[in-house]
Amino acid sequence: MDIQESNSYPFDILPALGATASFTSKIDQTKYGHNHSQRMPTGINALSMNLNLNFNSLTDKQAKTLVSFLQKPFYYEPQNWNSDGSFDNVRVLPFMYDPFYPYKRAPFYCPAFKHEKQYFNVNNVSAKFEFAHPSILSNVESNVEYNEKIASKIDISKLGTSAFLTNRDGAMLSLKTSQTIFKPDTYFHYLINSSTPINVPKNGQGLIDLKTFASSSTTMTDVIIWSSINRSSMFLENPQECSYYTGKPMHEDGNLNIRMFDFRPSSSIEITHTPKYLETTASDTYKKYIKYGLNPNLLNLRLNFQGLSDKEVKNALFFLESHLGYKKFGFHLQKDYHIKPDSNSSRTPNRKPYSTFYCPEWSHTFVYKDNHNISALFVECLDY
Amino acid sequence: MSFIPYEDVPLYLAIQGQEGQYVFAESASISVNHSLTTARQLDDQIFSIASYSETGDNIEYDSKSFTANSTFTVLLGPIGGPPKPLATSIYQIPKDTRISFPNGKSLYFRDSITPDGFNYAVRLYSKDSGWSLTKEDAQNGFFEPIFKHVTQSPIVGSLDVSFYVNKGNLPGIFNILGESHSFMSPTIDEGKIHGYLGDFRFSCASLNNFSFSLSPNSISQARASFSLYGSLIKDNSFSADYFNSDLYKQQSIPHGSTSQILGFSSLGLDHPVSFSYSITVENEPQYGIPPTSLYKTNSSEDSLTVPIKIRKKATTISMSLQGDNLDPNILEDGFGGKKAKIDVELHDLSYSSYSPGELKNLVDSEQNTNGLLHTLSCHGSIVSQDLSVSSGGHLMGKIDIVQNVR
Repeated sequence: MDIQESNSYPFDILPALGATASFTSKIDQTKYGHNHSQRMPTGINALSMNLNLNFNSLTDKQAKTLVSFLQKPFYYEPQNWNSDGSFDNVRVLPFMYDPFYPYKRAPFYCPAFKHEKQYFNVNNVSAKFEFAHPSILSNVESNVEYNEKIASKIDISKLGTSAFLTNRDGAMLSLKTSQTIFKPDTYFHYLINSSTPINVPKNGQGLIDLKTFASSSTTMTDVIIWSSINRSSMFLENPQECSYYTGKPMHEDGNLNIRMFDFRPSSSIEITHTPKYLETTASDTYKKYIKYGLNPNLLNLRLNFQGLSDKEVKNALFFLESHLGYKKFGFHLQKDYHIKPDSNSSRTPNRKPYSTFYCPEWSHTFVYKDNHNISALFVECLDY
Repeated sequence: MSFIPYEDVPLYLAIQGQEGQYVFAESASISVNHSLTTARQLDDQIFSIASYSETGDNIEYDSKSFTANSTFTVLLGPIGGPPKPLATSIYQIPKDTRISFPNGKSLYFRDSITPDGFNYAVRLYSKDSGWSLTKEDAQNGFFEPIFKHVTQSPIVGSLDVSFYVNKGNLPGIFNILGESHSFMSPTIDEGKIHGYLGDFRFSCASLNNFSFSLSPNSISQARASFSLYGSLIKDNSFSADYFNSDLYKQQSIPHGSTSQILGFSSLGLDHPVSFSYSITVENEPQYGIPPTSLYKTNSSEDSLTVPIKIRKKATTISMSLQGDNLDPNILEDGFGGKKAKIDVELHDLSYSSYSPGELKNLVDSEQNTNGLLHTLSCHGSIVSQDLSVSSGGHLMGKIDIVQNVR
């Protein structure tokens, strides 16, 4: 195959259905007693992305073009003898690639690929594309607190059948169809209905079509909206389109300072329990088990979120990305695990109607149009 | 509204980039199917009331005494919060859908809701007055919404047609060997076929199977089955003037009286009485996920709905020959199978109802005097031999030959 040399990706060759993007974070963890722990990323490149792509049913010519392109970065090049009296290393250079929805064009390496000749003039090539040097500094996303550098405060009033908005404080807004606007201090929401994206600078004004807002008589002030152009993603195209609840999640013990992952896993779920305990070591054959202490049974959940729409999967992926593989978030376990009302029985102290988790790895599979799966590892941690 | 008779439902097939033709079909059927499944989510039918507060300021559960037909808002989720939205596996909750709570209690949705992932608060009403829900009961509502379906794979279907082979359509539309005359190598034609059945248009099809049989003193029909890709589109303008097409001119079709089978004597047959021929192609549609910049969720004409290419894989010809005898020595050429080389020349009846003067002005396909229309060949190995006889009949031999073309 070392026949053709091509510097650009052969764009007419598209990956087959079932393409997968996997994300893994490298974190350092300090563990304390009673299952308390603290995590931090090992560096700004701690969150990595890999694409697993299959290019199926290629003609011999297409396969030759693709394999040659993937081989080329590794071809031998003479090293330069520098003035220090040593050889310079010759770097393997990444190539620019446009991945599948919802990912953005970015530099990738291809460290491994496989070519299968399936039939006469029918070839399959599978390849692993590794995102070149992703930096967590590229992720700019609002926390639950209002931040005028990332979010905006707007006033909305009715103007005929449309909604008139004033960007009173904050960053330049980038408003697009299907974005969500929450009524301040409530869980009521409106969807932007207009098809034309608009940008509204600070102190600027604009007209939008808010679904159902025109029929209400409400004027809203201090509406927090996150759709600023400063929102930025490491991996996703147009993160401004993503929406979540913009306030602090409301709870009887006080509002939370973390966000809730409000996507539901598939109905078939498996929860493995491996409670911590201490074990005597006095004898190999006779064992005594001793209670561990507080929080003995934190969960490691392998969750599958199936059948997500295009919009949902982008929201979910941006949520996970913005928690960078180590930041905690709230998540509702299935109903059986909610604390029974009026129950005063002893329990795991941290366990509330919701639990807190961090997600060190997840993968996204493009099943078909408007149908995506996410598989994620949620590791329970304490909310403090 | 009326039923459309057979003669008003033409079948038209065309190869990509070429002019098509009407097919003289005795029967044709089209079907497409969509692989859908529900993506059910955890607790998606459970209705849990966290509080009756509209603003969410007070997330604690305070029991409420309901009044008939008065609307109130509830926040969904576990007692104590935080609220949890309705599941997005739900397509719609129709207005007035009942929510059943323990002990025979019920509440109803005031509005029709299409969950979008942010439905933390919903409006309900009760049909009775003077009752309430305990904390425990409020967490255990159950309702029956309409669930959403998601597409698992592209729309595919089939076109099955029983038709009369004529001079024009075999080498073109029913390009049975898939050979291309282009200068590209390898010379395999992977062009898509498009066409209409009546006013229903399909944009991408590929031939899977073609079969043909011949017996004495009869015209012969062929059968073909195509795989269809993508959805059907109704185009009312199509069948308006097909009466002017070649379909209603005289067709030149093969006939058993004049067609010939060649090469049968080496198989021990003296008098072949019938043959059947079929060719099967293994097609593999090539779909591709476009990059984000070109991706459109609702497009019905992109590389996720219509294949970029339909790749041809294994192609096998099977021929069956029946006659008065057979050579039983199936090991004549060793254990690799006895070799056979059979050609069938399809001829029309070679007559014309036109005068010699009129004949000059006709094109080939309009006359029935073309003679040789097409040659079907099978050069392969014998895979089975059958002998049978029954009361009132004769001993008949049957030989099956298989050729792997590609």
